[in-house]
Amino acid sequence: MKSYDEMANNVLSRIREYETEQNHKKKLIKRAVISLSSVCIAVLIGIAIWNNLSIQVNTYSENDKNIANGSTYSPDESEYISNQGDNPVFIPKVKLPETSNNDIVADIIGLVVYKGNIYTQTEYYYGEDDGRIKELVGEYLGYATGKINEWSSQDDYAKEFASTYEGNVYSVNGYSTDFRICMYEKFKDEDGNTMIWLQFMEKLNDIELTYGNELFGDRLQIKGRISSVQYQEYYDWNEGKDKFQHLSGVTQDELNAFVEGLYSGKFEYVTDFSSELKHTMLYLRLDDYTTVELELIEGGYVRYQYMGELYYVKMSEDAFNPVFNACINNNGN
Amino acid sequence: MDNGSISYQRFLNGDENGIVEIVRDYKDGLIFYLNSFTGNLHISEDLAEDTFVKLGTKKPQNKSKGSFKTWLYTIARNTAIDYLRRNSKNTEISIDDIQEIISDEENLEQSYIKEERKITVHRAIKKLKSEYQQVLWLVYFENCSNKETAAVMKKSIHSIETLVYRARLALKSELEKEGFIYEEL
Repeated sequence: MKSYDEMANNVLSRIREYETEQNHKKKLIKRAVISLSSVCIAVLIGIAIWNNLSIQVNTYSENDKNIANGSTYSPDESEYISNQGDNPVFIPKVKLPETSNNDIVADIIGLVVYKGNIYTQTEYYYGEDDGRIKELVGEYLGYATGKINEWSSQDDYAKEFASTYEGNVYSVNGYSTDFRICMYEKFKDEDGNTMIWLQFMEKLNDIELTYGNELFGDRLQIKGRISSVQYQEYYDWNEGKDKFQHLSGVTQDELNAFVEGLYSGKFEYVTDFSSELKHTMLYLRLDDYTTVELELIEGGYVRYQYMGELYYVKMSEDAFNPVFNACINNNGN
Repeated sequence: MDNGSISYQRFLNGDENGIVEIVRDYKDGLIFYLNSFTGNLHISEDLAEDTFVKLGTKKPQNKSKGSFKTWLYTIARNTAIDYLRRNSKNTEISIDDIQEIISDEENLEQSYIKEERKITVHRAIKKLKSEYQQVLWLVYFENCSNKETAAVMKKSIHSIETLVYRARLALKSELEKEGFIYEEL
């Protein structure tokens, strides 16, 4: 067995090797780009001259063609891509991660297959049965088999009610089954108390989203249904501490404007925020006892907590700042 | 911010000692946890090292709700799953290696787990199926809450409670077979 020092030295040495290799690759790419750029410039000049001499028939770029066909593009997560104009962001279908030495998150999330679509786990409720949560549980849809695990193949995902959880699946009252379904169980704990567990599963993949209202309006329907608002310091959230605080210092008009801004804001791909930016977590408690959990990032960016870390609504700062500043100023960030 | 997060932040800010501290603080527990997947202490040691190297090279951000330790264990779990996928066929181990592994494991138990009765429990746990080993290690030896354990094992809290209950029954039965009664279970 290795001592602490031996393992620490090995780790440091492997990190340094990796960094040296990466620097070497970057240099090679830089050189190749410089060489290719020279060639490309020459080719582009040639094409420009040729086009000026030709009849211009096709003015579409590749991206324009995609838009005309109604298709969208999916980003390479390694680089920032800003979707211009009215292009929607596309959230690809959930796939079982491929085995890869470089895969930092060879992960599996809670999911269930319903009507050929994959619904992934979002908000859950667990606690003593007070009767209110039960009202959300709608029509019985089927029994999830719980047979998907890290070793499952892509074919397993094609099976109806294949899932990582086992249990009864229901619709959710007030929500479309195209977006949200749930798993629900009632049971006695070891002390004999009646407990309930309700897990929402939402279809947040294989979809296109252009404006915030497509998620927060059409699907989550938050407008006019917010019964209270709480926030949590980002640090507490990151440390898993459930320290919620009521949002104060925000007028009803400002809150309404925030919701309007969320609806009209545009979805963008963002892969990397500066570490200097402030974050906070906002919890919109709705009148049906559900919660919409949002991450707010300085500059007007909002992410629905259960959406991948790539898809943000960019709000107008006029609508965003009163709520964001109230969270930040109250917690002294 | 917990100690692991502070050390990791220092590393991200350019201080190599940050990662050295993480190795010092988490190495042994992580090896035992990984052993619940692989059943081979030497492989688990390599996977623990791979986990630290991933932190150091990929420099991921902990965006989960959990503590640094929960997050680190999640990365380790993924590392173990990747390893098991790539090495699904059993590899042969020589008798000399087995003896060395047993001896190393005993030494690690003495230095990390320390208490004799807990070592007895740990040895009984090793006879259970992998999923029971994982959950019992996290709950009883790493003092993870059900919520943290659920986060590491990618299960609902309810599933973890059920799993802990079943694993505990299996462990009790295993200990009783060997004539032990462990009242804290």
